[in-house]
Amino acid sequence: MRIEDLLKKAEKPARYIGGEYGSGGKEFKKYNYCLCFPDVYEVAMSNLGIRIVEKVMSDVDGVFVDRCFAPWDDFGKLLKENDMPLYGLNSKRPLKDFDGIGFSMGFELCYTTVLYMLDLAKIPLLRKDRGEDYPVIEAGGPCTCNPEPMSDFIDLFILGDGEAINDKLAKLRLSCASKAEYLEKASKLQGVYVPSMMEVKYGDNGLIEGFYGITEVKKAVIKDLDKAVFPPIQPVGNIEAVFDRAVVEVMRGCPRGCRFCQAGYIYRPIRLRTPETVTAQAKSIAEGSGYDELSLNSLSTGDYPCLIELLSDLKKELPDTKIALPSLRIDSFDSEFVSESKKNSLTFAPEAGTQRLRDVINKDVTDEQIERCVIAAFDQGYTSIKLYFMMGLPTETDEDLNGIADIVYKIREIYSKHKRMPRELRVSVSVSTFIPKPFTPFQWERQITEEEFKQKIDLLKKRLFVKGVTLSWNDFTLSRLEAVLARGDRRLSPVILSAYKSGAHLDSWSEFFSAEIWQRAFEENNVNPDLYTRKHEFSEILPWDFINIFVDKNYLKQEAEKATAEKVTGSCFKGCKGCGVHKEFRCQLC
Amino acid sequence: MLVLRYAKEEGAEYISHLDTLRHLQKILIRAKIPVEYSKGYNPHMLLYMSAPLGVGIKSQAEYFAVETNFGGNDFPELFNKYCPSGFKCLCAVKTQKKVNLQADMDSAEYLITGINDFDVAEFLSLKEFKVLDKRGEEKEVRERVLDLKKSDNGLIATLSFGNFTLRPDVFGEALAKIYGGEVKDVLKLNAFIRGVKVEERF
Repeated sequence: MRIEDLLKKAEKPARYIGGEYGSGGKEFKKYNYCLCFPDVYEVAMSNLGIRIVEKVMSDVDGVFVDRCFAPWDDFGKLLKENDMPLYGLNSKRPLKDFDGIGFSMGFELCYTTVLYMLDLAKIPLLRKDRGEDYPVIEAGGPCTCNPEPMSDFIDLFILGDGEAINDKLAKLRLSCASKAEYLEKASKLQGVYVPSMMEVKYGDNGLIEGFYGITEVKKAVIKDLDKAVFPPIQPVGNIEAVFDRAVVEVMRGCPRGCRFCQAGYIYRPIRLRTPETVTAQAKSIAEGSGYDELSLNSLSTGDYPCLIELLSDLKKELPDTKIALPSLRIDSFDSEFVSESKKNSLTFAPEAGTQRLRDVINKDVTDEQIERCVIAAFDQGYTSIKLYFMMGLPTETDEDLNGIADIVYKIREIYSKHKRMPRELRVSVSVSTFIPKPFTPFQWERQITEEEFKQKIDLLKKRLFVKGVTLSWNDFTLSRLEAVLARGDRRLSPVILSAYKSGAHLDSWSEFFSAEIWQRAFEENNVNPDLYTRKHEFSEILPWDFINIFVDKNYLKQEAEKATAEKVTGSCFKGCKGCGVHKEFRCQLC
Repeated sequence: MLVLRYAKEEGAEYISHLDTLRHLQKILIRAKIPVEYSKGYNPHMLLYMSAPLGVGIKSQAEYFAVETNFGGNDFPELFNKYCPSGFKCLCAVKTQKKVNLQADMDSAEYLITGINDFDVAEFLSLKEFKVLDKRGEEKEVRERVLDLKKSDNGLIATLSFGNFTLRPDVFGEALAKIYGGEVKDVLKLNAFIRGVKVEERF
């Protein structure tokens, strides 16, 4: 059986052929590494993280880097039925033939997909069942800030910035005779966690008593983003990727400190690229890859201090390139930025409906700012507004939910006053359930129950049943599972395994997610998911406490207390707040 | 206008028509070929492809035309330097003539492998021949089979292409059903405008 014979039967065969321009070679070298992304081709090809890691590693002499993405269900079944192992896209070699495999774990619902890929590659899922003959299974990405739920499966976790550690690991592996030696030596590097070298003890109440063996792991940090490695060209997908455009990262970290936002804490310190470097990189990628659209990425691009200067440089160097600015904040929305772009839909994330609740979450946005920004947008000719809110935030009451509806009514009122276009205004309101995440001031908070969820959604449905307004929300069971996995400990590994064995994979795709499978998986392993969604005490040892992201736990406690007191901390622009990162690093704020 | 002939093999045959268009545009940008754009509200490249090739069919005879004042003779080298794997430019012809590949191309020659041996002359004497198309409908197509002969590697079929197309994979499957075997590979060898290879027309 040839791969080709299977491709003929697959739904979108171009997902599985590789060979994209700029995607690297096909031949094995001394050390062969396969980067895996646990989602389908179109999503994976939009990911910047794996492109950076690919570049960092393939720059090391003797290292070959290939890629592999999760096959859609049809091709997965074809591989299984025909007894063909999952393979690297460019080399077409089975994953088992590689020396190392690295998963990028972007969010918690990809965990079963990691197992799905290992299984399709015919690699034993549990690390204890894999001897020297199998590749080292590694994982990086934001989820590894609490790696414990995946600790039965992964040999080595990479924490923090890939630029600071992936090349070191590749060099180390080249010099080691065995996998065991590599794991032993790697565990001493900053940014590496080898779960076999730590033990966790639990008390009778089910809570953690302590960590033994390796008891502290610091994340890896690249101090100078401006000089950090960045891929000079980016491969163009054989199928159009979700974001089919050149991507440049202008800033890492975010100065805002919203109290629910994990990325805002784990990516500290704030580091910038100079406009000159960004422009040079943008030019290289746009021309080298053939893109006519460029995205300036960061957690909050409107906060990039040299944005105006950068935009004018880019206009000079790449006059025909469309520029996308994701993650603009309301208060940084400036008509100058948007006057060039397409005028159809504008997206804002006020996150909460009242000033009080926005103070609680440290989302430093006022009603006046929202109004001003909406007026500016209508003046520009926008006729569609998309609003993101969260529901179930700490201290939330019905009044806050009513506030969401009030904002929508206000926007409609402004539109009729400032109407520039003959078209009807469309407002889409997207509400997601709050998920308490590790390393945020809300890491001790509880998640709302299903009854509360229903009650809150009903209230919003009643208030927002208006012509021209669409309300959408996330599936509650999915948010709850994400909460459990995000704050989980290693006792969840068997649950994830059971769920996978009962058919869970590609969980973030609604056509595959099954709440029943997961419920059964928890029951089979006698794990009560409520243990992970409940309110945690300040005094508890949290499953991720052994990981050091350089933000002090005491700072997070202070922030949590300020939230309860409805006090705003504000952004790092207005002076350093002393979160702890400043003791080792310097945040770059012009 | 520049008319180009290129191959799509080694996996690239699985890239759909629209994605191929996207790739071609990006190859031209990378190679810095000065292509003209339409002057409308949404400017797009003045690039014209030949009729779509079925996904999974290999080809050494795909064509596209671009409006450009590119003067060099090294177009194939540039294309091949900047294209994804599996694509390969075979030749480029400059022309002042009006080019409409979709309308003008009328037949193509394919190599079909994997079908058991049978009497080709007997097949050609048939007055009728029915195939099941991709929608599962039965269709009379004898008139669209222009020629059929044997070669060392398999069958060489010349089928009508363009306004009335007979897909070579569909044709091959119908033959396999009667004479046995299984279609292994289909490779488009040449495409013609009124019996002459496309590039020789310009």
